[in-house]
Amino acid sequence: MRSGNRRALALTAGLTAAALLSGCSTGTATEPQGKPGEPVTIDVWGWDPVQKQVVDAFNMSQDQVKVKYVQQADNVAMQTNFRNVMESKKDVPCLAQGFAPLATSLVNGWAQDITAYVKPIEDKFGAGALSAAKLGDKYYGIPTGASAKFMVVNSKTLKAAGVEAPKTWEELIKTGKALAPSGTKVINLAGEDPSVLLDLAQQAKAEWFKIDGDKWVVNLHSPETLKAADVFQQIVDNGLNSTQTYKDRPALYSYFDSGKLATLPTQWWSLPGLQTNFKTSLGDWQAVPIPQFEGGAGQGAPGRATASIVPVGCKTPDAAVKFVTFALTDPKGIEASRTKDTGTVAVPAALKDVSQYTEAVVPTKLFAQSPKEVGKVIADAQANVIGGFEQGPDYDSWFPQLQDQWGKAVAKQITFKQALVNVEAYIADDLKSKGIAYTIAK
Amino acid sequence: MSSVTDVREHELDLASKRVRRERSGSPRLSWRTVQRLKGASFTWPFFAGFALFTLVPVVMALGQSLFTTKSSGLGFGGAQVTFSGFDNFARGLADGVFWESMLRAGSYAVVVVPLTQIVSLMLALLVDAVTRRVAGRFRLSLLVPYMIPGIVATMIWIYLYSPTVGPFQSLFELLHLDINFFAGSMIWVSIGNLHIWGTIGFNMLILNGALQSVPRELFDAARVDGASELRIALSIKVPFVRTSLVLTGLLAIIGTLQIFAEPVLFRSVSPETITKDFTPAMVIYNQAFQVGNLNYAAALSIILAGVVGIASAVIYRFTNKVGS
Amino acid sequence: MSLTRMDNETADTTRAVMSAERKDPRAVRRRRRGAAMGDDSGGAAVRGASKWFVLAGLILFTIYSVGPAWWLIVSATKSREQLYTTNGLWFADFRLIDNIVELFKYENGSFGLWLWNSVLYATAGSIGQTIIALAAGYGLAMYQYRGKGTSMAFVIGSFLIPGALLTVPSYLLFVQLGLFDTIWSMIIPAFFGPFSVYLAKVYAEGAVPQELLEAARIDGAGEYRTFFSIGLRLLTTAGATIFLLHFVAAWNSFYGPLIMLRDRNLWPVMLGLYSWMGRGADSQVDVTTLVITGSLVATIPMVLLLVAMQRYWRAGVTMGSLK
Repeated sequence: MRSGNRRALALTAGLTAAALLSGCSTGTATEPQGKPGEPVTIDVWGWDPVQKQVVDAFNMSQDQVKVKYVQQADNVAMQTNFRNVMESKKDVPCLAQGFAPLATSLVNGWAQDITAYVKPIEDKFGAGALSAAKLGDKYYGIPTGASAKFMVVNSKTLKAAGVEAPKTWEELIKTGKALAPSGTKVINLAGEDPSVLLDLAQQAKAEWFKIDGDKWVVNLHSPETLKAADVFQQIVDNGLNSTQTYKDRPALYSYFDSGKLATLPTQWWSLPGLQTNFKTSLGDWQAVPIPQFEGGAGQGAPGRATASIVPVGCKTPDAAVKFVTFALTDPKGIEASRTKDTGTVAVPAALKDVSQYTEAVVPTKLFAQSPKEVGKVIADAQANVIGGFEQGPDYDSWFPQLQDQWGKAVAKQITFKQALVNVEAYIADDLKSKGIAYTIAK
Repeated sequence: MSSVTDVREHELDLASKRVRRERSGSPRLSWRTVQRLKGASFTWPFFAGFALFTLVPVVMALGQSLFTTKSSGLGFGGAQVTFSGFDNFARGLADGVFWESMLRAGSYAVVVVPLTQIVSLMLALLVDAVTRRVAGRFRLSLLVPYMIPGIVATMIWIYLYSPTVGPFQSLFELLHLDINFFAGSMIWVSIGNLHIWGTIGFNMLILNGALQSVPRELFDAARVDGASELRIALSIKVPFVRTSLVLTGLLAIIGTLQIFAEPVLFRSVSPETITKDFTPAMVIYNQAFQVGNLNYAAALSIILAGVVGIASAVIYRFTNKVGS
Repeated sequence: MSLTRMDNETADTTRAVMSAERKDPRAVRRRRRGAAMGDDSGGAAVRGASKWFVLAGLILFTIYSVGPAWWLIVSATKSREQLYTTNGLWFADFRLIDNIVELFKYENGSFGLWLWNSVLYATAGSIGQTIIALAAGYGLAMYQYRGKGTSMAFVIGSFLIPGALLTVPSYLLFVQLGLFDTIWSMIIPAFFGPFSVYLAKVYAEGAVPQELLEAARIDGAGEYRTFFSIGLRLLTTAGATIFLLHFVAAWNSFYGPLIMLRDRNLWPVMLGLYSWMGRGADSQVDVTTLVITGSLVATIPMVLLLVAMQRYWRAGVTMGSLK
């Protein structure tokens, strides 16, 4: 009943918005302020400080929508405060930087259906960005885009062992075995961070959650998932990995810098940090595409977007979409995100083609290659980013369980397969207690 | 049982008679009543605010714990909130994971609380044993950990503990010791040390404050009688600060049973040991903010408060018995 | 060194004076007057061999307490590049001044604003809490009235409440009251600290003799006047302790402000630092250096406060010995 009303409301709002949008695209610049109706004011929530500059530029560029940026202390603060505001239903923002998977937002009653607003502007966004904003064929999120993973390898270390940068995960294991005698590790698996497992599952085209009619199909034991798990099992069984934690930053960087680690899957925004904190290995690194699985063509680069949402309770989704289109796709909006600290513009992950933005974000001293070459690797990865990987209606609940199980598997207390079995059982229990319909795949 | 109530009622009866007599009787007694009222009025500002900012939220939370939130279908239709009585409490009382975490925190408290108390008391006695000018300086230094913000203390200790870059590592190598503060087997020691480091300053301050109200003449008398300083400390000073010792002890128990920040920190460095449900407070946090079941989290919080309360009461009794 | 010797000598004189006191009560008064003036040496101070033992113990504990802070001091002087790449316990290029300048300039000088907010919240909250807690503690300690036991039980019972229980209800309540996202959300609730009340009660029981109140009554002073003219004066130590404890707690807290303050310009310094710290994980710029320098700078007001408080403790001691 209530949601039905809401949908009707959204529809009417959508129609008016469509009218408004088409109206503004024809005559924004010349239209005087005296149009009927004051500018719409909306709150936008996020924790990225750079967003403030974009908001200012947006407010300057037009006079129909006025955005107020509410900057949260960090990701965790955003989650807490967002939960609270949805509880009190007072001053609900019109746009919230993504912090939870779409289905989770929907189950919590947070995300609006914004298909009517996104459909007309679909062609502005990359495929990866779009797929991560959809559930079924409806848009519940803004096509925010995800930073694609690529890999940096220590070319000096590889050369010393007489091996090439691995192109597949199977090759990576072989490389690891070749490096082992010299005490060099091929990859770092932090015990607290199972996101690499999600990366590989995503690449192998596993589907952990799928909607089938009116219930969820949960599947953490498909051949695709097990293929991903097996890679890690072989790495850990043969002792090919290090287990540096991200919490102990000095130790982490000094280890990465030491030449004892051959490869490091990463994203563009990690690069400046690596350069700042490396000493001896500066100039030794090389950017290469992330390994694929043998035999499977066109698997793409892992990267999961957490789409921004237009929260339930926002009465002017059109205004939110207008702002977000400016921020994510308009060259002026993108330019406004230039940070003072680095003088660079964040790679606009929502776009189809980011090649003109990548070269500038490459730090100059880290690589053996030219920034241009590295920029191409980043842009290619971004063009191939998969984006979507359904994480179900209770991601926040099962992720800590996955962390626990992953930690045990990395510490060789259980196998990765067993870890996945345990997580699947946990998900079943959790969905049951929440009253959400599900079935475990055969 | 009934006899006790009878006696109580009798007393009450007497009391009310007394009050009546005070009201109607001599002006001096009614002045006593006004005085009592004035005395009570000193506490009114506090209790007004306390009721608003503590009791009201507690009652709201209690209310929360009596409901259950359930979705249906794919879960997108919004959740239904239904009254479920004490279901959440029943589930909490039978929740193995929760009680396991309680046992863990409890065994930790059994070791760490007395240790913290002994160290704090020792510190307070040491500070009390030097001249005031010197004491001032040391008191300031000993309070440094208390003043360092938690987020920074974390950074500091991760560095000190680090098996790769930490300063103790070379020392351990020199002594051929294989100690890794991040290893699963060492995690309690690492957490305990961090905890003790952060709390002894505060406890010392409270105990030291109490020590200063000990009449100084007692020491002189004891010294004249030839008592050693250690003897003076143990048999004059310690009994004098027993109340404060019980107080800091109870606070330490409450703090350790609710321990949260330290294990969360070590979850990153030793995730295979410190799971998401490692301590009761972590279970509650996980239920409230990860699983998203605020109702159940509220019920668990109340159970935890109950257990902490019982533990405190038992310890209080016990220390009183030992003391007398 | 010479200082300790002087203390030794004073201790000797004191001892001599004290043995005299037993015979001459007037000497007792004289000594106390001296102590009140500040040129004291603790009656509790030990002598001889035990003294060195005591000092050694204190020095060891001081190293344990202060040692880890050394990392903070050293790290605050380092550049971003050298923070992780050089020995954490020794200086590299000395960049403290540059760091401080950058700290106060970063993001249009947010840090200075946050620092000011913290001073405001902690000071106002602590003053309010100290006065209200002293009054309540005094009332609970000095008077007998009905309902006292129950109210005390509530105060102690509130220590048991896990913090996680109250976050959501408190938020909803603050929104209702209109305190949410205002400076008052940091100040007014801070006035009511159950633990401070408990402390005040315990202190008052020890420091304010009933006989003194009776005497004041006989002199015709009202209850309130007695509190302000005698009670408060005798509770200086308690007041100083309560003020300090709450000040430090308010200064270091960030979870409450994180929930209650939406406007960045109202944030206290710890929330600001926390927010900078969180940025390391998912952005291009790691501002850990600023967090470290900021923490060091943010500790300074507390050290100053503590040094200033020493005076009150000394005064409080003599008050305590009056009874």
